[in-house]
This record gives sequence, structure tokens and C-alpha cells, in this order.
Amino acid sequence: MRFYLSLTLLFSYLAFPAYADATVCRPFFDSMRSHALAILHDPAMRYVQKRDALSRLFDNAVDGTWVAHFVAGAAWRTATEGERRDFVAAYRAWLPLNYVGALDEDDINNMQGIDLASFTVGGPSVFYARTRVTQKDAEPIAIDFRLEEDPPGVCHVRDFTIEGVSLLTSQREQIQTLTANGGLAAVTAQLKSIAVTKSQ
Amino acid sequence: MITYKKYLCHGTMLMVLSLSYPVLADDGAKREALGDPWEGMNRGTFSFNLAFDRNISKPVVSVYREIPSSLRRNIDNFLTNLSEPLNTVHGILQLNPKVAFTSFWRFVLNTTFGLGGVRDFAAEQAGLHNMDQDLGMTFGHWGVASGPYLVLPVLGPSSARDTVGKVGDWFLDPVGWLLTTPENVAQSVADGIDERDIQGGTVDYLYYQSLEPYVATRSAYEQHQAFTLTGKGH
Repeated sequence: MRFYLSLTLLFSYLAFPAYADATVCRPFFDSMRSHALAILHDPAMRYVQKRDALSRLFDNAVDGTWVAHFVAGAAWRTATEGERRDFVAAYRAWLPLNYVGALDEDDINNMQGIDLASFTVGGPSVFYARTRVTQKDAEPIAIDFRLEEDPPGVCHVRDFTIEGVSLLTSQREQIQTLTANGGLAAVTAQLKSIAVTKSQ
Repeated sequence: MITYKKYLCHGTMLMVLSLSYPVLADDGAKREALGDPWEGMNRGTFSFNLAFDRNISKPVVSVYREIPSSLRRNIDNFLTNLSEPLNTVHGILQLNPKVAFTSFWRFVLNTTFGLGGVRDFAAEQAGLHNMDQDLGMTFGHWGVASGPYLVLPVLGPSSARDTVGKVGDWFLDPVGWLLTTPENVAQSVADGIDERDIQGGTVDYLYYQSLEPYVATRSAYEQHQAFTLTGKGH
């Protein structure tokens, strides 16, 4: 009996640290949210300044390197080290341009609040924040974030869904189609060319 | 005319049910079930839709956007209000009292206190927000699988189930029964312009800013449909 009790206690002890509490990711998320709201509501900032500030916030919050690796899919395995490095750099530069850069002046001016519907534990070091972005002249938009504490003490956004459409799923499907035709190097070239066009 | 429409409606419903029967699937298979066996044809239609959007829809919507946003909001409210009787029907068909009652009371309140629907009185004063429904969603609610992905000319991404649903909605819509054919066509065109205006950012993003527009649109459609069907959209 004592043996089984000890075994249960041992497993409880071992299992406990696997489900991390939100002491790192919750403050990270709250800070990201309040920073975004401060940018959106700053009367002194113009559209371009707001867009650029949101873009920097996006770049800091989203784990671009991890996302780049994930969306590359099977092409990652066959790519050379140099191709991987080039792809990650090009993808990281393109990602904020693609998401935040797509917001026009009306989109940014219309956003009013970011209401947190729930913040839940999804697994070892994984958390989900469900939000509703309220708008002035339109229905709220559901944006949900998947946050991961990896390595311990550091939290990142590793996926988000906008009205159910996931960054990881959409990007992976697109990049897999493109790499099937020209490999990772072709996608890198396309990303660089878009980034150059957008910066002009 | 009404009798003829009713006959067509019953006929379509029977056809839909008989076509849908073999593709009944469980919830877990919804996302996987939507394959793309008609990709070649779909890509052709998608190219046509891109050209149509670039040369017709976008220029029309840019002229439409000269109208002040508050007035465009009124137009959107009016068109949304016209869809509430159909939403009520779908609430009943889905045995979903929340959708049925919300849509019914939205129509009553907005038509009366919302000045014929130009103001969204129900949302502003009673917190009753629009719960957009269609026959494709009703089929999905009862476990009918999406079937293959299908790109419709002008209308855009769809699935076999949702395409049948669009045809069925044309006959099921109580407002449509009261309008003449030219009025129905006018309402559909107005809906299209309003929708392109409201969804402008999303369409521009998918069509003109994604790495692979065809795959991006298909992926977004599939994921959003699954999200709407699970009820997380409300």
C-alpha cells in the first residue's frame, strides 16, 4: 500500500512541472495587448507610424524563426543549411509586412478594443488566449493566439487564428505548394522580391 | 408563380437530400473531407474571378466607397435585415432556438424601430447580433459533409454542399418569394457590392497579397467554414 502511495506521489510530483502556470505567458500577453491598444489609441500617431509600430510589435511577439521552420514543411529537410538560413531571414522580414502591412488606414482607425474572452492552458507550456477585436463600424473579429513558453522563461506567439483561419495552416499549405515546384530557394526569392516591392 | 416556386423548392430539397445522403460524415472528418479533385477546373475559374475582381468588382466598389461610411453602414444594415427571415428559417431547420429567436426578433425590431432596417436597433439596444446562416450551414449542422472544393464563377470559393445550399437558399428565402425576379437580381447585385466592400480587406489580402492566392483562398475558406460550423463564430 505504501509502495503504491509513494508511486502516486512520485508521478504527481513529476507531472506537476509539465503543466506550467501562466506566470510568464500571461504577463507577456497582457503586455502585448496593452501595447497594441496604446498604439491604436495614440492620437499623436499617424497611420503609417501606427502601422510600423504594430509591425515591430508583431515581429517581437511572433516567433518568426520557429514559424518559418514549421511552414517550410518537408522542404526543410531537403534544403541546404544556407537555403534554410536565407529562407528564415526572408520569411521573418516578409511576415509582418504581409499581416500588419495589409491593414489600411480604415482598418486601423476602426479597431477600438481587444477584449480577452479567455486565457487557458493548452498543455505543457502552451496557452491559448481568445480575443475579440471590437470595431467602430463592423462586427467584432475573433483573434485567438497560441502562446508557448519555450525555452523556460521566454514566451512567444507561435500561431494565431483570425476568424478561424490559422497563420500556420494557411502558410504551410501555400509554401508546400510552392516548394513542390521550385524548392525552398524559389520561395525565398519570391519573398525577397515581395519585400523589395513593398518597401519601395 | 408562387406555386411554381414552391414546386421547384420541394424538388430541389428532395434532390439535395438524395445527393447528400451518401456523403454524410462525422464531425471529425469535416476538414479532411474537403478535397480538391477538380483543382484544374477550379484554378481556371479562380483566374477568371481574379480578372473579374480586378476589372469589375474593385472599380465598382471603389466608386461605391465614395458614399460616406455611415450611409454604407445603413445600406449594409438594410440588406442584412432582409436576410433575417431566411436566418430564422435556418434556425428552425437546425432546431437552434437561439438562432431562430435572435433572427426573428432582429427582423421585427429593426424593421419597426430600426426604420425599415437601416439602423441595427436590435444590436444597439437589445444586444441581438446578426447570426448569418445559409443552407450549406444547415446541411453541415445535420452532418452532411462538405464534399469537394468548388470555385464558382464570380461568387468565389465554395464546396459541393454549399453550392447546393446557395441554390436552395434562393428558393427558401421568404423575402425572395415576395420580390419579383428583377428585384431579386437587384438585391443579389447589391449584396455582392456590399459584401465586397465589407470583406474588401480579406479579399485583397487573399487575392493580391498572399504567396499562392489559389491555395490561400482555399485554405481560408475551409478553415473559416469549419470555424463557423463549430459555432465558435458566434
